[in-house]
Amino acid sequence: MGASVIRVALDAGRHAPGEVVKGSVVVTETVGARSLYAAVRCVEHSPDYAVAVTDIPPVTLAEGELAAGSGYAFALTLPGDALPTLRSTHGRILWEVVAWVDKPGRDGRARAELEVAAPAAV
Amino acid sequence: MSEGPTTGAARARAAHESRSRRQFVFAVVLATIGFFVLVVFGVGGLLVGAAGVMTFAIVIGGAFLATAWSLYRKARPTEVPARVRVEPADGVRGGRVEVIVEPTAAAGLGTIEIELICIERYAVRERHDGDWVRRTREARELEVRQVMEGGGGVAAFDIPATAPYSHQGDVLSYEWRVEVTQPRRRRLDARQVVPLWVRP
Repeated sequence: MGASVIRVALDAGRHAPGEVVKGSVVVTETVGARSLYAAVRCVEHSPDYAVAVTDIPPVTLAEGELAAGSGYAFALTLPGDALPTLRSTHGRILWEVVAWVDKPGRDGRARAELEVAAPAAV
Repeated sequence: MSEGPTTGAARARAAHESRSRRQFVFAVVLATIGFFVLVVFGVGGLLVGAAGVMTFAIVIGGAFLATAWSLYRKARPTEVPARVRVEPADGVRGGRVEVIVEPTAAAGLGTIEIELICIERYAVRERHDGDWVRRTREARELEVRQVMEGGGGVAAFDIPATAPYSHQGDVLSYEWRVEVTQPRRRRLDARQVVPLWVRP
């Protein structure tokens, strides 16, 4: 996923639909960036394909140069009807937080998976 | 192109259906020959006034058509003579659904099989003529079978809490359904399929 100038750290690994996913993007090496973004998304995985099935707009965490060791907090809200995490014999439906640095050359990206539980029974 | 069923019972059923499809094709071929004989020799005999030729056409053509009809009756798909419904119509993982079978024929149903099935469909990349192409394969992620004797009744199924939920995606889909099958000897089994939506 490109050079690892950033990594994503989540405060908690398990959430319910509608909850807020909190964490931070940690910069591992100083980079002259235009912007730093983060988004939460749901991805379908088959043996040979991976497709995002949500279209949640990203948030801008920072602009300009990112110093090594700095952290940028985020709070991203899961949809109320978020599909629960699912693993089957040939596929998976997973949620992840993706962060990426818009910089000259190849953008740096990082991701962290999270578990989304099924809605509580009414 | 899709991969076929993966369990033993499903493979046996698929083999039976394959045999029935071959019977159906054979019936069509025999019917074609029968009509050809009837038309060519029957009309020809009529035109030249040859009663023997006409008789040949009727007997041989008729035999082909009768055999074709018999094969067609064996090979055609038929529905189970019963009203089948699932309650509730949309299930939930960790919950229970009931399959209610009410015979509609006076003769009853005899022994029937009821299956709760989850089919997983997933996209793969395959080589074809030197190019990579996308194909969809399918496999039964879950199947639970019950046998019902004496014609009609209620069969209850528990949906595992960890089973897939119904989903229609771009590269991954899960379809749930109930299949009721009435096994028949030397004929295609009668079958009825009721779709089911399973919520997360």
